[in-house]
Amino acid sequence: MLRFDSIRVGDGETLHCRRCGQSAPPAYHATAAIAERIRAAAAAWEGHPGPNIVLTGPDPFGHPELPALIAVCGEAGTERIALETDGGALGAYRNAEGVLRAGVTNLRLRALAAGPLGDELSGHRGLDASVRAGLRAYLSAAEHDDAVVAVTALVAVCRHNLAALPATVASLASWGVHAVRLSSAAALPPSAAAVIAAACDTGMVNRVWVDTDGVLPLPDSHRLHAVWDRGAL
Amino acid sequence: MNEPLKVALLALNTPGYQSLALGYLRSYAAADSRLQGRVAFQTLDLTTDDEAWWVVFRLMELRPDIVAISVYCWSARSVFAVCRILKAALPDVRIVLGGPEVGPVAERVLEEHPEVEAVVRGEGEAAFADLIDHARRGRAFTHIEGITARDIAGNAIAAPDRALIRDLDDVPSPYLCGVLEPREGAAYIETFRGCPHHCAYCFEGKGYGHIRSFGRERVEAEIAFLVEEKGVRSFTFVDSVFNLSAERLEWLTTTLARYADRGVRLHTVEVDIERIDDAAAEALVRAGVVSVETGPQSTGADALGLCHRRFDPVRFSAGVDALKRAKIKVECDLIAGLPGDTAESFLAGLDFCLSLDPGKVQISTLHLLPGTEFYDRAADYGLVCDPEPPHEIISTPTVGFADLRRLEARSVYVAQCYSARR
Repeated sequence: MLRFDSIRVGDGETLHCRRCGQSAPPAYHATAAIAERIRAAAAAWEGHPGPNIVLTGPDPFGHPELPALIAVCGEAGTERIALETDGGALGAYRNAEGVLRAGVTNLRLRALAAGPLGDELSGHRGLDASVRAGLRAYLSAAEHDDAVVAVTALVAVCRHNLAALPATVASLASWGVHAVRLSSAAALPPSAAAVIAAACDTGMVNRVWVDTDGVLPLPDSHRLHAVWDRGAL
Repeated sequence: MNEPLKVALLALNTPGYQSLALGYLRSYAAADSRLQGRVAFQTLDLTTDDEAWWVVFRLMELRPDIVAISVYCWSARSVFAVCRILKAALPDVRIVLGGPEVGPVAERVLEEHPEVEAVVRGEGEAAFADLIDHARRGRAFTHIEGITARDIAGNAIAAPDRALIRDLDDVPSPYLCGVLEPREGAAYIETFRGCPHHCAYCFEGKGYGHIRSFGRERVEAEIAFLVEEKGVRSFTFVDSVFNLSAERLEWLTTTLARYADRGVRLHTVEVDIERIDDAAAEALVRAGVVSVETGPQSTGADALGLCHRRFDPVRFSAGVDALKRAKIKVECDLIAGLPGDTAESFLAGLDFCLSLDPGKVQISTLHLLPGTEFYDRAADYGLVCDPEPPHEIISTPTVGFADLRRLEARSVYVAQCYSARR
């Protein structure tokens, strides 16, 4: 429905479930190379609406020249600029206001769980509080500037955060996200369908849309929560 | 000398809006020679955010003999609360309702709301003036054409329908006669009544059957007065279709162009977009139009058929493109819960609207409005709605309750992401 082209700012991941294993440390790409890919994606954009670009890979806030990359997106005519972030840096150094005013109107917030479980699974103490503060700052700045923004939480589901999924959705809703996207990070037991359905229902009663990647098990009654086009919203 | 009859006119609008209907009722009645010098009118143009107890407090201060309230689906719950409290607090007051939420179901309103004495059905100005005259003379309301009223025993009696006002210029302009003041530099304009379309979910035509226009000189005088004397800088046209015909569009846009040059703007006029070409779009620009609102409401063939709506995706897209070239923002409207639509066809409609990149996509949920075909034939179509206003759809034969709520939530999110742009 609304397509975003993903531009990786580096290799490796930052936020992942520590109980599931380790991932390679982040290695960021050179600014010039990323800028070239941004310009190429925008120039090749066909159809409407757009161009839309999401900067992803390891947390873009870890890239030393993120402001320059966002500026390149703007100069290339990108209509919707999204950042896919772990969120920890959002609350620091007025980053939230900074990226909003630079043109980032779509925020994708990677999360594993809310509260202490989120900190434990990510291995970052204080991450939960930091993300909340950053998101609050971002939404406040948007309200102040009368800017329309969309915040989507991205939750990679594994057996370690599965049981807490409904509670995670409820917490994310209370933080002010507009939607939660659940994706499969590992093989799950058959009973997962009931928990994922409950997470979808938790979103409904909290007025937050929850969708899934089409891989996670879902009962047929919840088929509308399965996203048909994984590249789209 | 007898005390004049005191009539309070009340509307509970969506915040930010103003009631043009009350202005018409008052300007028409004030021009009636039977009532001049014998009736004192007061208008309370409030909002649905105003608490019922506070609204009654305001009404009580006016010590009215009659309270006449304009009722729409969005205000009905608040209005009925006001009626209940008001009648208990002021037992001698006579409460009269009118408007699209009550007119088509007048008898039921009287059955369910014992505090209400009469309901004006359909076009209200002439019937309301007659009702006030009957009240002044101490006569019963039960034989006034266009009125459903209680007899002495409390039974609802529906008098015959009233013929529509033949010449709309018999309704004095509420602006020109000073009973309606524009607010914050904005004013509503109505240039005709009725609608060329007959959509099964809509009460825009209000049973008028055909188009009746206000005189062009009168419309021009209203616009000139509002701009020159009242400093209005923004107009909202309540006409069901702004581009009713090419000739009319030419007249109206030429009239408005002289004020557009001075910064007057029109926000969100309703257009039949399949008849918009580059010339029409340029005319709208000259008239100061900033944004337009249009369908398609649905792109599903089954739903469109049941709604009696035409939809040609090629012409629709061409209309949107013409407006975009003219830098006019387009709001594409979709309705979730139309009979005939499935979840898939509704989402296909959303996809179609987004593909046009119109500027805004507005999702609403079907409301079964009294007086519409869908309301009258809900059982035939298998439509289940909340019996309480605003009568939101609960389920259709093709989309159940939970999936309807899911479609609302998903499409609201997608529309949010669409609007979140630089």
